[in-house]
Amino acid sequence: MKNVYIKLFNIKWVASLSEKDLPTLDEIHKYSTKSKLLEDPYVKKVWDLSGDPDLFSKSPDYLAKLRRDLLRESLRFFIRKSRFYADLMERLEVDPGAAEVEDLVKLAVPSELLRGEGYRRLLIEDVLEEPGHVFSSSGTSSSIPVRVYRTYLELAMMVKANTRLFEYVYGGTLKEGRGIALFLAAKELRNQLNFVAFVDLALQGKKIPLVYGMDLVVGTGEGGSKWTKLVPNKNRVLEFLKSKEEPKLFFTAPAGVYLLSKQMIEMNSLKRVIYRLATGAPPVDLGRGGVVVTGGGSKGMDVPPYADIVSYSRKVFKARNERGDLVDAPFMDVLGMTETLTALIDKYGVMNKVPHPLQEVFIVDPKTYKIVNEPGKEGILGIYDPLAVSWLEVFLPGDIVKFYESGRYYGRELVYVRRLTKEEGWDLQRACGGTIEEMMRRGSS
Amino acid sequence: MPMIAALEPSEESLKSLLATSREVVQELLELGFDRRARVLHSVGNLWREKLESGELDELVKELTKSTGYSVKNVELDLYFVSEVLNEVSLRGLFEGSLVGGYRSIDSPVEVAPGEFVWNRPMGTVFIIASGNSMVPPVLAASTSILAGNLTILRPSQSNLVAVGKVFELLSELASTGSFEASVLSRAAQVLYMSHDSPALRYLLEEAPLSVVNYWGGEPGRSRVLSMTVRNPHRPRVVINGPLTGVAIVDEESADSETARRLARDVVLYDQQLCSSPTFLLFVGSRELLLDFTKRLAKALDEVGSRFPIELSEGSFYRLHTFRKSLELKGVDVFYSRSAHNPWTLVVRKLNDVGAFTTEWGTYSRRVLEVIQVESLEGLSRGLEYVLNKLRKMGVDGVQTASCSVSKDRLSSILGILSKYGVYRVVPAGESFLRTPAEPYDGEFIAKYYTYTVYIRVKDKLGELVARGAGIP
Repeated sequence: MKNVYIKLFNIKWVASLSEKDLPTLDEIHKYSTKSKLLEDPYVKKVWDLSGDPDLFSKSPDYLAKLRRDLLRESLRFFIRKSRFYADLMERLEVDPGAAEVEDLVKLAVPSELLRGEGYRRLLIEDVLEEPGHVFSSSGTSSSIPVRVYRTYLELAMMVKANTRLFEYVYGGTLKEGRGIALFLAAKELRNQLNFVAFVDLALQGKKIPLVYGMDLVVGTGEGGSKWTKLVPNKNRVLEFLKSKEEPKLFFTAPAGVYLLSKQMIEMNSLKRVIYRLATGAPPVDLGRGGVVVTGGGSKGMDVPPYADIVSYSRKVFKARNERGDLVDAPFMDVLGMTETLTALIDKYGVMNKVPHPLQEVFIVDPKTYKIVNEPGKEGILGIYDPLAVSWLEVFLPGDIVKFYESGRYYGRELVYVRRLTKEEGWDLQRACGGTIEEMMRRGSS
Repeated sequence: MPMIAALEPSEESLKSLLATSREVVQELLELGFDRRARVLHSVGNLWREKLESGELDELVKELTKSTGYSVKNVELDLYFVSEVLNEVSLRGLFEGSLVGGYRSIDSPVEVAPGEFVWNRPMGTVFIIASGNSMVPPVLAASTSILAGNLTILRPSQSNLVAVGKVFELLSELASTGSFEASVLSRAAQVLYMSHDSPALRYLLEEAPLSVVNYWGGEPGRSRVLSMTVRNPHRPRVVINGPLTGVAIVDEESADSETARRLARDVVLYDQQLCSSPTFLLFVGSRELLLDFTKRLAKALDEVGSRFPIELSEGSFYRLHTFRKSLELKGVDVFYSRSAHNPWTLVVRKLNDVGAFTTEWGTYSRRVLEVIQVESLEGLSRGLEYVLNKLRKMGVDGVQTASCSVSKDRLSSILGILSKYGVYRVVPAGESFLRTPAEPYDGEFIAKYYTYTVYIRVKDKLGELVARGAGIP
């Protein structure tokens, strides 16, 4: 593992580049079906549920009860498997047999504690015998990335569950072997970024070719310091643009689609004609079922609000309806942290963010850390995912969200508001106050 | 006239000010100690009148925002200003501080037959004061002025305006025709300079200063020191580094009254004073400690709710993360869910603490680390743990031990504390309270700003020869 600066469109961020390749979906399936963890009835149960498409047609009440039952079974599982969790629940006075969503607040780990090697102490011992992979965050919030270990069994569940969720929000099933996808990232990033890995594996499952639109270039600077930057690979982007396959699925950070659109919009007339002759774009015709899927937030880049990015990019990115007419491209956005096995996904103008039916999403008041149950009230996002079996995946990623009631399966849809303000300038130094305060200021993150 | 600089002073203006030093000192000395003390007393009275009349209400609001303390705490802090400036207190402070007492400021005082001491002002004193309370800057500057020094006070950002307003009252008194106040007004210069200000660099590296008195911790301390050592005038450097408090309670004293007193020590000033306990060493069984923890939790609820504070969303997140990091490490953490009184008790056995020497993030307010020790021997080990931890946190040591212990243990505990450089031992619940007789961090504050002239008017050699010394 090495920390390097990655430069995307002249913006740097630090990533912990895993030197271990992401396993293929075939490898994941091979090992996950043989996992000893599956011998546990709880694990077997969530394994079976993870790919169940019927969950999306259940009622919110049914799913809430299912999640509560899974929570209780999950807590018993972790007590069975780990002295650490048994002690923790005893000290926090969490009774697995009577656990409710409120208990998740007691158990939730702020993601700050998952930075570096923080995840290790949360793993149950059984996973040490399982093959797995470590993902890490992009490092935009801190130079020490959040890291999370996934067994192959969990990766298999992640792919199943996220694919079902994706298809629900997308509004249809991705046909096997149909279409083409472009990810505006380098292939190497799938080894550490959860979002890239999920897309890669899910598309492997669908046998849809995925083209990576960027290369990772590594070099050595003055004094021997290593630098790494992402540079667009024009040939591969052209391959995607020129492809006659449909649907075309375009995965990118919001900044990626914005900057690509900007490049095309700002072309002079001559260049536009030449480009159009060579690629057929602009506009970029994503075809029937084509979609732009964003994820990963702004990555610290100065880009317009998401709604503006969508309306601006739709000048360039088009899709086709059932009749074949050119229409504005649909936009989906994925809120998926390194820490979460399944994501929250929205479709712009159609639905706000919805979680997987098994994922418990809760919101807590930023000052009392009590559950927020009022629609529209902002609070800190909390996530519990019962599909994670190597650690009790209940955490606070440090985001402010709000929810609105919804007629869909979850009963709620979520709206992302902002990152939580973790530092607000200088605090009086404990013991003697502060002098020369300007030197004591901490940067905002 | 005191200057509350919205803009930083220029090097030139500082040079002009410093050029008046001898004249200002001479004027102060001509007034004499009593008249100077009386002027400061009047300032204190005027301040109190303004506080009671509501004239300082806006200031209370500003300070509440800048310090993060509750309104009630800020009001109390402002009240203490008039106590600090009390003439009797100031006289007592000098009487306790100096050999020869306060009279030795005005003229030599005979301390042995034919031998005198005369405590003289150092000249020009530059004080960089802390922001945790109004008391240190006001007390330090008043003591320096009373000793007869031209005094430049650079308060903290958090209390700059408030401290400036105190010394502005000298001008107000002077405008009513008080000659004495006009003299003190010239001697009290409240200025603000940022850490990278050319004016600050000039003052520390080049200006003809006699004393530099810095209150606070790193990185300011090292920066101030590194600049001051270059100063060709070789000013005396006095550092009041960051310190904290430790409470000691034994099982015989672990009642609700002790809990209430301890809660007061934690809540007042939110542990930002060098005296406030941030650790509690409990001498007794685990069972009794847990019982006392419940009493303390109740007391913190009661006392803390009377001093409500506002923490930012980010501060709460840090606090929450801190609590969770400990819980994941197997530590017992008790805390309030109140948004305005977020106290936390971290309870550990002494034998466990070795494993927990580093924690995530920084400590928040109203966090007390409670360590259980079985015996007095354990108390020594507990203090060693505390001191080691403080050093890692950038705190110099323990200033105050707030004790609630049985009488038969007190002398043994004093013996133990004396081995660990603790500066004060006071009853639990009174850590914030200072009397004029008290030294500051092991030294009497008037000594910072004076030097002692020794005068002998009687031959002493004869006595030495008479005792057998072979001196021709």
